[in-house]
Amino acid sequence: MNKSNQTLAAIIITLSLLVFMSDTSYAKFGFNFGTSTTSSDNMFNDSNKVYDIFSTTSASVDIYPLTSLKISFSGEQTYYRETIGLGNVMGDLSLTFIPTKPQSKLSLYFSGSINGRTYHNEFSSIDNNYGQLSGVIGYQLRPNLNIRGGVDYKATVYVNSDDDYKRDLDFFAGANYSFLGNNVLDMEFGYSMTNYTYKDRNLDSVQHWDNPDVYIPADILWLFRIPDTKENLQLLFMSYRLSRTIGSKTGLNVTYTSRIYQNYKGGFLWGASTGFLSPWTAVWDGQTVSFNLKSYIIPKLIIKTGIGYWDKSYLITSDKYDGSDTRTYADAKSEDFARNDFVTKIYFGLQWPIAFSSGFFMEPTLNIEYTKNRSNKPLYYFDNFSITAGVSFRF
Amino acid sequence: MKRLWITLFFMSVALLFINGTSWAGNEINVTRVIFVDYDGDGFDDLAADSDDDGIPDCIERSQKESTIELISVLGSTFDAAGDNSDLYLNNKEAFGAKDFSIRFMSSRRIGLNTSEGFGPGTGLGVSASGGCVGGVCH
Repeated sequence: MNKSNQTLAAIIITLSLLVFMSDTSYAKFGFNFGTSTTSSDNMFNDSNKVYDIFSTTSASVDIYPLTSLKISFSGEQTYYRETIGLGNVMGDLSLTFIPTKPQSKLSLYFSGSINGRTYHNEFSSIDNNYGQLSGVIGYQLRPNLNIRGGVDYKATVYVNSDDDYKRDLDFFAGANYSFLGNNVLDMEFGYSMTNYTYKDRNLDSVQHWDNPDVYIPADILWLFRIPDTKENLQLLFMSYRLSRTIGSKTGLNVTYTSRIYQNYKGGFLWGASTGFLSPWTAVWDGQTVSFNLKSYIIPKLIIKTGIGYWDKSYLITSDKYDGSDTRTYADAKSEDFARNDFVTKIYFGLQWPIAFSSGFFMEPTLNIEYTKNRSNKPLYYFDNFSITAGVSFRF
Repeated sequence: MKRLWITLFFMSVALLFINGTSWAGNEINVTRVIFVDYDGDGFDDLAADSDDDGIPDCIERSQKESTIELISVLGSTFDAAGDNSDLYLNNKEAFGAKDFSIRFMSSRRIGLNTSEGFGPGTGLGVSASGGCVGGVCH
């Protein structure tokens, strides 16, 4: 969907809903506003260690035309002091529909959104629009046991690229179970598919591009001479989270997550951008363990801290992109290999929520984060330390 | 690895049913102190938070009075409202009650477009700890 179609769709949907469904005497609006500034000593999360300061400002309006429907318009602008071209503007329209009653054991939840993000000319190749649809069903088996399941579909188009739509389909099921007082076990299992185009490096020979009668051994060719293969990449997910309170003012959780490729055979992908923004950054195989702690031990403040470890294996992807559509060439049997990272992340956050009797709410926040990334690829052997200060408002 | 998955899955199912027997026969309308935690922060998600500031009322009170209160399932504001949505002042409040009731469904943390729930989760800025940047969730 191009930008004009997206805007048109947004206007039509919104006006239709407002005109035909809204009972204005009961409808009410909600407003949210937030702004933050981050100082990062490694903006792109790689060994180039580019320092930058960036500010993000966001605003949203929520409209409630029905007791079961919320329509949200939101916008966000991010400004980078050094890498100005990475500055971008985002617009989003989303609908959330909850047809079931609060007391019902059976719960249903549907949501849909369209979103567009535009960068400055320098990075316009990663301008993207996406549409997303979700449906979730939940049931309270017992007061201490809830089960849930659902499906989520997301289609992303990079508007200035010839690449196909990126389509993600996720199925998931989970259970939340309280036991032995204040212990809670939450489990989630998932199956995901995403379409991708790759170069099959296991081919023995390739048909000549000018002479169909001639076959050439694949391992002597440049990769761009290997024909594209289109397929759906499948992953399985599994996550266990155990949480509980320690004393009356501190809570914690330990979470283990595993993601496993089901049908990846080492194909080579062209990345769409830098590693930081590549859509393939989100696709990896491996395991995660994290420990998170939240405390109200200091009056009026919320303290959050945590540490996590990731063992990740990425798709074999060339993330180099110079903006002129001249991508790195590599041969079929070259040194390109999967990127394997071992990541340690630590964070510490402070929130100071202030609620006024008028319904106005504000919350200053401060977050400090440290990432240590060790990789078998020198480009991704890095550290990152960042500080974010911000404030959000709601009324 | 597959064997580990299968083992963990069946152990989970077994745990649910074995431990669940202690709850057998309980009716939903029996008032009971039950601790639930959908977002994994370790705190009771049914604890009342009348000013919606993220700090449960019992914590705020305890900071003044050193008392702790747990709220039972049926003791929450939303259950007391029954099925009659007229009790809410407007659509926003009625929707808020529904949104509150489905938190156990919306706290999803795995998938291609989720950010794993690690980090401060304040929704502000571009977080290095599991945030989404330019439509990509790390």
